[in-house]
Amino acid sequence: MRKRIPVTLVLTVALLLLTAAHAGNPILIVNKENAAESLSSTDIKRIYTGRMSKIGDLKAVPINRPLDSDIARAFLEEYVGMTPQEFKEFWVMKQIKGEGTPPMIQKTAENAKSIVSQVPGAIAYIDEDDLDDTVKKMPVK
Amino acid sequence: MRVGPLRILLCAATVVVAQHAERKFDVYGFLDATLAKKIIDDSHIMWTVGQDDHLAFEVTHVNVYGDWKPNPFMRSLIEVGLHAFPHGTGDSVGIITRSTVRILGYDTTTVSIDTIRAPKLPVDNTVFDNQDGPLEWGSITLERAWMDFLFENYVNLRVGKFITPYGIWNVDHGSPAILTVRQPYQTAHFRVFPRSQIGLMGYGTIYVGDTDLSYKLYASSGRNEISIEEATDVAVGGNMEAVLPVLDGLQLGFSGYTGLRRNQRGWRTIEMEVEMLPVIVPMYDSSGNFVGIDTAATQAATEQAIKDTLEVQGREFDRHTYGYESTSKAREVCLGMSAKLNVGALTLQGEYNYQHLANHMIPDAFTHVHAFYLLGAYRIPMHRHVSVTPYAMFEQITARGAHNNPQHLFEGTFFDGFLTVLGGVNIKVFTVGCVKLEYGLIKMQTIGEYTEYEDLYDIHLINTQFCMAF
Repeated sequence: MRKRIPVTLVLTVALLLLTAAHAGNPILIVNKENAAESLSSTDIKRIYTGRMSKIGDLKAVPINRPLDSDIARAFLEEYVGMTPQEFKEFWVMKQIKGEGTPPMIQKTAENAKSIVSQVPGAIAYIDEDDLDDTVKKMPVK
Repeated sequence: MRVGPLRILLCAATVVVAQHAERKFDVYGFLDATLAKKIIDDSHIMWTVGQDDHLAFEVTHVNVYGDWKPNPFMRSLIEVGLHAFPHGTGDSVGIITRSTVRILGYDTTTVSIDTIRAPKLPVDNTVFDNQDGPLEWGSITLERAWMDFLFENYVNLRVGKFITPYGIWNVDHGSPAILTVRQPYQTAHFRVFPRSQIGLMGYGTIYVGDTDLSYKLYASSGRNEISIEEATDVAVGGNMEAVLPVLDGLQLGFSGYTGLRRNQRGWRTIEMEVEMLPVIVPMYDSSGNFVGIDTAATQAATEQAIKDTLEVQGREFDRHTYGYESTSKAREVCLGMSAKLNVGALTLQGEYNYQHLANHMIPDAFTHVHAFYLLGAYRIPMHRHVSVTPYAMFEQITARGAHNNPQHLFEGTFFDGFLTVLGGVNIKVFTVGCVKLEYGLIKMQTIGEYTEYEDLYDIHLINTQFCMAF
């Protein structure tokens, strides 16, 4: 007799596959007041490495995710050109030079969105599935 | 128009969230400890200036930063170095600048049974600095203390004490950020440019495509950071830097500075006085009968008592007064170029710095200092938390016309430059820590008949440094 595969198992596997697929494709989010229509990948790198302090008229407040997370690795490698380890070392050196402190880290997408929705210059990255209408997706050119 | 309570609440919430978005106050820093060994010939001139070749193990730096961002438009940074010795302790190769204490004069009083009044004795406690920066008395040095007023990416204002913006090494500053144990001599010891400034600086960056163009322009009290007596004492300088998307990053810089190099003598005077009765030492005959006063012993005992009292008084800080004296002024002009290229794991870096220094003793006489270095390094990741970077550096410093210039360290010597080569490995662990193993050779370059003895003045340096950022 053929065994029926439980529906819950199928759904769980599908969900896991979907999550795995999107963890490699972080999207940028900004506050809805942010008038910029897009950001270049160079500007994103500048913001996260402390070389650019303003986005238009807004003081840039970059937000990072835990550096041992898949989404942080994907974002840093794609937009900053560094592994999480290199990013940490970069900011240690930048601090010693007196050039600033690293972007704050928010553990969850919900926390990141909460800050971005309330701080005009905040910029963060989340999975596309976590996007809602409290924040604006920022296209990258 | 009335502002409704809901709007007030939302604004307050935004401020609170904004405050949490960025931490307002951070404390961080670094420390390092260095094990250093010099190998020098018995005939080396270093023996005559208090140096030695003992194995030295020192905590060379403990630097603490306080970083304050009260709002998006302001920032201040204080960096304090804690040291074991006056004037900022030794460098990472174990050279320590010590203070000397001498009692300039001591008048032996005539012994009598009356009250003795010893004269006030000035005590000269002179700290000999490296003549390239301000004298710093204590075991705490203020490396940086500035406040920033932030306007736009392209214009901001910095006020206070800041590191002179030139080159690569001077800005990199701390041991976790520096690949090698020893900085180039042109940055750390024979400072072609001043190390830091007290003044005002405007700075900013403009973005041209993928290229960053930065500038810094400043006016300051100059190299020795002492008071400005005339308008011509004000020093000015600037730096322009381009970060270009060439290969994995190319950084080019140009710097300039001009100011008056002022000879400075600093001193501390301790005013002490003694009023006491002599310490009488009686003489007795063999039968134990008093026969008189032992003059010599009484004198010796009284002098000792006076010295003991003076020692105690010398530790009372309200008796200490300090002074500075600017004894001469000479115009200097400094120019510099720097370049840094990253190609994958390879880093190539170099600087050329030039100093044109007037001789205040001889009209139309100048000292010309040419200094350059080249550094190559290759990073090898070994493990998730460990990377190893072997490196090598070559440096050449030449000073022409320095022997009769009191403003230059080579004055009165038979040296006109030196060449250094060093090689080592930097082992980075867990991002914040590193161990550096390094060998260096300094070859002094001499003039005239001393040239044949140049090999006697070689200095071999073996250094191990442990450092950590916190």
